[in-house]
Amino acid sequence: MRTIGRGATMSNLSRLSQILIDESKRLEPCVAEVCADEVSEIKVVYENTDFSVASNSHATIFGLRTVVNNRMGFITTNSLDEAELKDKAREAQMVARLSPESQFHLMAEKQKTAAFYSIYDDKLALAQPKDIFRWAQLLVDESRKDSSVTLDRVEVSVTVNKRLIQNSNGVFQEVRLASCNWFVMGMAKKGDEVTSFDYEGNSSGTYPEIESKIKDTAREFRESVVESLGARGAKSYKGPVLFHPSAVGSLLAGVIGFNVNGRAQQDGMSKWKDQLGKQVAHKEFSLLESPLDETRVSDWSPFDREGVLTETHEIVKNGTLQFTAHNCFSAARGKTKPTGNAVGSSRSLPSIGLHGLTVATGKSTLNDLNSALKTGLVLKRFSGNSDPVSGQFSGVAKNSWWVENGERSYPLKEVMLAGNMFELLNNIKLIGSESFRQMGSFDSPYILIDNVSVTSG
Amino acid sequence: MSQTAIIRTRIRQALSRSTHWTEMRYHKKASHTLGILKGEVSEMSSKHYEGIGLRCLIDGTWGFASTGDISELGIVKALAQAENMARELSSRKKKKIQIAEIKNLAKGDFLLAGFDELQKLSWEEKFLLVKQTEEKLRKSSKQVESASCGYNEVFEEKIIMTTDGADSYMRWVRPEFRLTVFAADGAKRTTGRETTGVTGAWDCLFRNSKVDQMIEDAGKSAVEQLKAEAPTGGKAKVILSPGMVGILCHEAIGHTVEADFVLAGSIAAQKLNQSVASELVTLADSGTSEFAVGAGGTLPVDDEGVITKRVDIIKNGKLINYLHNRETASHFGVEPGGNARAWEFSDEPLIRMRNTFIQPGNDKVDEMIAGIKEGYYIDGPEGGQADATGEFMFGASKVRKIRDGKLAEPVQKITVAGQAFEVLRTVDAVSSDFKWDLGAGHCGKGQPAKVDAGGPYLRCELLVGGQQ
Repeated sequence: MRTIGRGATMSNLSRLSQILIDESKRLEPCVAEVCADEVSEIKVVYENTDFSVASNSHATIFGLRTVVNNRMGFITTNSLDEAELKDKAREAQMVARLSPESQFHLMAEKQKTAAFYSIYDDKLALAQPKDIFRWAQLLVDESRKDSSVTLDRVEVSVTVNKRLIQNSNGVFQEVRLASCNWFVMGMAKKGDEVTSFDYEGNSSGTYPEIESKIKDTAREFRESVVESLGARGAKSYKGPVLFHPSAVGSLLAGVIGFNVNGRAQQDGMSKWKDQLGKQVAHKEFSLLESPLDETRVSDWSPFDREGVLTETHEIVKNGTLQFTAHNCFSAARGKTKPTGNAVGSSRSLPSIGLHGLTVATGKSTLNDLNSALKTGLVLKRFSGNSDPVSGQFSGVAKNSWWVENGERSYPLKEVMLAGNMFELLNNIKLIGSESFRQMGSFDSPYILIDNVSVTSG
Repeated sequence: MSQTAIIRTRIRQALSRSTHWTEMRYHKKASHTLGILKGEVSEMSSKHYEGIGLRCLIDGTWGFASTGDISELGIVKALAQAENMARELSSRKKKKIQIAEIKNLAKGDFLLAGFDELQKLSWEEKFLLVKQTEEKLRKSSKQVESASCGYNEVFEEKIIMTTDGADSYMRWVRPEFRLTVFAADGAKRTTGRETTGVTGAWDCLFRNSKVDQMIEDAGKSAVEQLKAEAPTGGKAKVILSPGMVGILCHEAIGHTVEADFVLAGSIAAQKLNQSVASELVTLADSGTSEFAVGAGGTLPVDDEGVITKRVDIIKNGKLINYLHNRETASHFGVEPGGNARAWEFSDEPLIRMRNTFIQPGNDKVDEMIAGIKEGYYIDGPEGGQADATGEFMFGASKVRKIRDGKLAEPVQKITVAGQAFEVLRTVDAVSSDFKWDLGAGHCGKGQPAKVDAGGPYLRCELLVGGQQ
């Protein structure tokens, strides 16, 4: 029988959080906020050709932020001792006193709804180690259906996460999530040839769907590495590249996420400062944020790191910038309201981020896209450096392939790409009609983009 | 009785009840972080995380558990959970694990320099430097739009005990200082960065470069990038700086020789005792800070209680060793060098690098540059990745063209790539200068690890990403 350790009830998290807030207010008038995270996890790891370790862990962590006379201090602790928690409240105020004043250190106001949110399949939350071993074995067996597949690491875990956000303004939000999470990493080998490694992963909050989703993950991984066998160089060119949904996520979604960040705009790091309502991408391109989509378990966020309720946002619509993401600090500084985009854990101060992104589909079938590419690179995984400030990127194409006369031809190695991500957004030629989910949370079609520099070694 | 003495006694008592091989690791981390971004506080925090990670080997199967409850009862409960996990898994385990027997497991106290010194230095003093640095950086050029500066220090204490005799306490501190500048010219934006990180105290942190020099270098890098052109992509003759050599050692060679990757089929599996590099190349990984003080990955004892030592991976061009934990050392029939590391108490130990480097040679940097008609001088490592194939890529932010044996104009940030062993075969000059340069970096392998890497300047050939 699985046991959940101390501090396991939400009421205990709440009681200890309240001690931190009460002690902070008792020491000196202040605004105080606690983010409490409790995680129980059973995990099994398979390495190379065998199971390597099974583990059981439990952690409760409190992050306390206090603002005293416009000065902010933050501490984290995993202590559950009441006297020690009171000491930590004192330490947070000591840290705050050293901090410079800022009128923007505001915390969330009481929300319209204070609720207990939950994705909690009892059967999954109480999964036995034997269930987790069975799922891990399934992921291993399905991945190795092709004998050339070599596994580096497979992990399957069942976690129960609880989070509480509470502040002295009256914010009180709780969420509980039970999920099964898995990933597989490895490569294919044939004779002396070893392919680049690849990985796939997903998660689920529903017990009955886990096996079929694990099979899907294994199939995608297996096909990707096996199809990378026989890789060779291609020719260097500047022209169209077909971006796989995975590459769309790592290059385009990354640069957009950074540049819609309110604080990045205020601090002069974002190119999209004062660009709301202006064209920043090709007119066919639209991007949506869906933090309330329960099918994306790992990205599901009914409220943000500061307890502000989240909602769906159109970030880019038909190429026009529609949205700036704020936490309470950047909202106060920008004289606007927080948008529910504070992100982070109890071990970090709230920063700004996006949840559950979807690139809208277009009209082109995969055949149309390959035909339009005619001859060139299909980029699956981008391994390299991308700078969201300048937009420059440069890196290597992994698990990618060459298209010749509109047909998939052969896998590639030693092929590099370079360019500018802002230009990519405007150089979109065609968008695929079918959407694919990446790593359980990012939805995108294939996108054909022109004017990319491809260098073959 | 000090808190660590009490915990040591509790662990000793719990271990005495264990009927199989067990390792217990108490790990306390206390970190302080100070950050300013464009005049506003971005970070002002104090973080404490402590607990115990336990691993037991039952019927040749690992079981692991962790707990933040360091009471006697908490430790006993966690031990029972680890034992339970091992027993549950053992029926599925095909090949039973054995671990290398070690004659001299770590016993006693291992106290690295800087811990007390840095604790005595006030927050005010550290914060003042961060604040002044950010201000200076922001005002360093008209083209500078914004700047940030951050300081982070992590005080760590560990107790490692095993049923076969390890009984050690160790502590160290790892400070880091980083600054970033953002420059703009119309719609064009660039960044410049300087970082330093060490295992040691304040003076050690600024041993390579004083703060004013770091400010000047970061500002210059960002402003130069505004005008820099993209290089032409293709194979090129290059000079790699110690930082770039460090990332090459770590990403492209170091990971492929971690014995768990070797067993998974990395390219190094086929190359032991073969020539893989130029004879000028000797590459090693060490728990101590060789050739220069303060390397960020310095570690006296690993998380299996093994006293760390230098492991020569490539000697005069020949691959002679992999990196091991006690399990893989037993599998390969060798002695482990102390490479089993866990990030926090809640992590299991994995095979990780410490300080990875190429040994310095005899060449002068100026002469090495003079030997290149057309190529690049590459510095400013910006992260990278490598495959089990040894195929690597990593970024560089400070790159200059070399023309007719002389440093010429700067070019845009680039990514370089290649197959590690093939690149090392092209090495034809190794400088006598040596520097640790990745001390502010972390390695990721499921869990982070504090590592350092460095070396001399190398002249070699590799693939430079750029425009066509």
